[in-house]
Amino acid sequence: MDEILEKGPGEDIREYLIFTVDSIEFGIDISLVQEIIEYQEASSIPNMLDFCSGIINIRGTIVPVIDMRRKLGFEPRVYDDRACIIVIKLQSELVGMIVDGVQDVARIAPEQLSDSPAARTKGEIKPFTSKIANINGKIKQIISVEAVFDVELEGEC
Amino acid sequence: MLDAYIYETQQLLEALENTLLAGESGHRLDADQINEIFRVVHTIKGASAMMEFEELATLSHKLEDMFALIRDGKDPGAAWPALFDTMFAAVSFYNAEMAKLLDKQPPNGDSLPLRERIEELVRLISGDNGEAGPQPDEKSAPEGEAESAAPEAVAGEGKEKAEEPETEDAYYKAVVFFEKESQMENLRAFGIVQELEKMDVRFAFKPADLNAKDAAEEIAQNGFVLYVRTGGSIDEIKSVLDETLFVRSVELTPLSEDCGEIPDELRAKDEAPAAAAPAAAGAGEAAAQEDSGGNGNGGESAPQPSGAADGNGATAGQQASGAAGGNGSAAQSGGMASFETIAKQNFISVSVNKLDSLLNIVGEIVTAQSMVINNADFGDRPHESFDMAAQQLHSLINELQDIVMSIRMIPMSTLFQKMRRLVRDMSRRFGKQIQLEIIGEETEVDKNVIDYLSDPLLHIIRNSVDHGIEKPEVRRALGKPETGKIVLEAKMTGSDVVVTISDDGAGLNKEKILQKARDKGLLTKPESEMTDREIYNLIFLPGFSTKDEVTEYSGRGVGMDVVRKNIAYIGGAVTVDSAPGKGTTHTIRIPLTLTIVDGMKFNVGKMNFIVPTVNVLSAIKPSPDDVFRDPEGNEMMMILGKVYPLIRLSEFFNIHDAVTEIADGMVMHLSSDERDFCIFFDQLDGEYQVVVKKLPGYLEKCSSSLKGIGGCAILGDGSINLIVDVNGLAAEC
Repeated sequence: MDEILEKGPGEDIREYLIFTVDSIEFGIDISLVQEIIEYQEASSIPNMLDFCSGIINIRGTIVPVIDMRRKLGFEPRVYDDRACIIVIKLQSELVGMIVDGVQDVARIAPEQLSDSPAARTKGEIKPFTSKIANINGKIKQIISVEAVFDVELEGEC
Repeated sequence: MLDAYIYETQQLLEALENTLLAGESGHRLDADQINEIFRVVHTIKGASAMMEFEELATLSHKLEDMFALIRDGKDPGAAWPALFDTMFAAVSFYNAEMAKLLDKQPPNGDSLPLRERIEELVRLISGDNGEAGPQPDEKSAPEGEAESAAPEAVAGEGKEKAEEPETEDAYYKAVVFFEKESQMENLRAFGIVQELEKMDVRFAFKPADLNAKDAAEEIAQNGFVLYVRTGGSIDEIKSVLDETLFVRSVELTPLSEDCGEIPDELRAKDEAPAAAAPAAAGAGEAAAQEDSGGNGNGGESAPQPSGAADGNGATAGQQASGAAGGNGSAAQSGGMASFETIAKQNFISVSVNKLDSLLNIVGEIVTAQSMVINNADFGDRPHESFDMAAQQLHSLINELQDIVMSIRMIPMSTLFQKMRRLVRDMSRRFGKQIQLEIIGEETEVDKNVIDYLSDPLLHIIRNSVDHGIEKPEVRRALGKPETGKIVLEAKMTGSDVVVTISDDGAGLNKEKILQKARDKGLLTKPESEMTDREIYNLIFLPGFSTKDEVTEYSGRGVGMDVVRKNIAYIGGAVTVDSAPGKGTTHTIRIPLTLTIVDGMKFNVGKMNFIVPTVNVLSAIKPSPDDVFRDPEGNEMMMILGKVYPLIRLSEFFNIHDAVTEIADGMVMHLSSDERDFCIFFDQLDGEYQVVVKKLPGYLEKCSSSLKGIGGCAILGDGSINLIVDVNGLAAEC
């Protein structure tokens, strides 16, 4: 932490897209986000696992869609117009995540972030929330894309 | 620029390798092959020097010298095998350097060992014939010697133009200075020479030998001195000089005809033009005799007229010393010519990405077209003229689609030829005698297929050489011919391309495979129930390798797994069959087109599927009486007195909102490579032409099994349809 504090303000500020799932605010590194589209019903795939909603067609590209409520362990629900699909790029492929709503983009400085305590205690198993941002007393959980989507990215985000 | 260089050099290397392989089978190179190699090496040298890759250029230079010797009649005799080895090593060296460049790394390989081998060979070759023995170090002697052979600055000539009346020609002297930091002054000067050669002028230059070590320095100090004789305007020449990169200043002075400074050759060039080219080429021979072709100039004569040169060497003799330098430029124009021949074929290289997006767009157009033509807004109103226009559009789009597909098709030959080299290298290493027979290399497949097929083929052939074919003494003892044989064959069968690799080696050891599979816990069903084929195909499982020790070429146990994965990625399948003592045959089956198929659409619950029409035998409204289950629960159906396995897709794919009563759904009778079978689904929904898209890789993580699905397609209405992989499904019943 000391090392981080030595850097001047403005350096290393990263932008995060803040979205809600079951009224809890989460953030995701915006550099991964390709676009945000309206919720649409996905087509099922064979032997679909339950956190997956199926595949959708985005201008000719087939994109798998993950239901974030199910993935993050919340009660599933029927999505309405306010729900969105955040399309992110993982290992040069697109993946969609259905969220209850998208709020805004937050600029978060490293000193506003702290590691999730769970990350320390759980050891091998990566928790979905890797960092916690405290913006003027409001908590936003930054999700670990690697953990949520079960992928390995070059350079942790 | 760099891309073009790499691409071109790789093409040349491929050609070189093929020529070498062809030559090696006859244990020597014939005159055509030598000329071809000479040309290729020369072109590589020129291009590498232009790109300032010193190491590559020097190596090519050495090779060129060696081939100049051979071309000029010295038979390597006993040195042929060593020569082939060295050449193959050189090709590998170049390829490695190209790979580095592609990787955006500098080509930093050290060619010294290779160069030493070449020098050794040159010594052997020239020694064998007992020719007036040039000393070994003379060959590596500095090129500066050219100047002692041809003391005065020398000529490149405008061969075509001799009929110009000489009296009207004016002489000029131009001294060109290059920018201090330009470096490689000799190359810049060479650029000027090339430009001038395209023009209708005669000229000579100093220093005569631009390849000489000190040429760059001399030009930097004294300037590049050009003597020009032209019947036309000097302005053209001036503009050429002015436009050359890095030129700092040009001093242009007219010379009177009798000025002593004018090189004699420039004056003398009024002789019959026909003599000019052979003279220059013959000079190569003459010079070769003088200094054993060891330096750049002497060795380089234009490849094309060399046939004539052989005979004319003597007549050209008296001109030889004077023309030695000119000969250099003639050879350089030879290099130019080969660049030009490549250009003249009218090929362009296009990035595959562009082709991919072109194909994607065509796919979208096909989709959009059906959206327009089947648009619901038309309702039932008659629209004759629209139909006609639509029909025309349809046929144009079909044509477009065919063209785009054909652009992407390339013959297997490039891939197959690579295997020749592999077999050659490996059989030597393992002390085996193997003949590789190639059949059907002209078969064309999609570019992507070639890319994904390369590694699998390598692995399989490695295995055949390493594990399959026995050593000559073993083969003799078994009563087989000592030379083993691997047959690589490609052929079309309907919608597939089938590549088979068969060897006449020992065959797979069933017991050993079973043992290994048992040890590693790879068996999924009782051994007694396994057919031979099933046992053999265990080798494709991850982590399987029967060879105990690991060799450089194979045996890491990843090979066959990779083979299967790579092939599955392009929608293909690989199987192996074997007969103990007789050999092993691998069969790779890949779809010819990866992209557009005719298919029948049907649905199971809310899920839509497309099954390729080629696999459909019939679609039937089943009667419950024809469907039954055996005691193990396998469902079967009788069609026209024959019984076939029946797969309920709703069960197989785990779909909950589907029809369950046989009488309410439909059955499709499908044929696959392995067997015929039936699937049960809800409803048939018409026939479509669809663009096959790969399933996103991430989908693997969203489903417990995607077996039986080969891809997906988007229809005109935007809906997503899954494409049934009939062969994959057949494996499950």
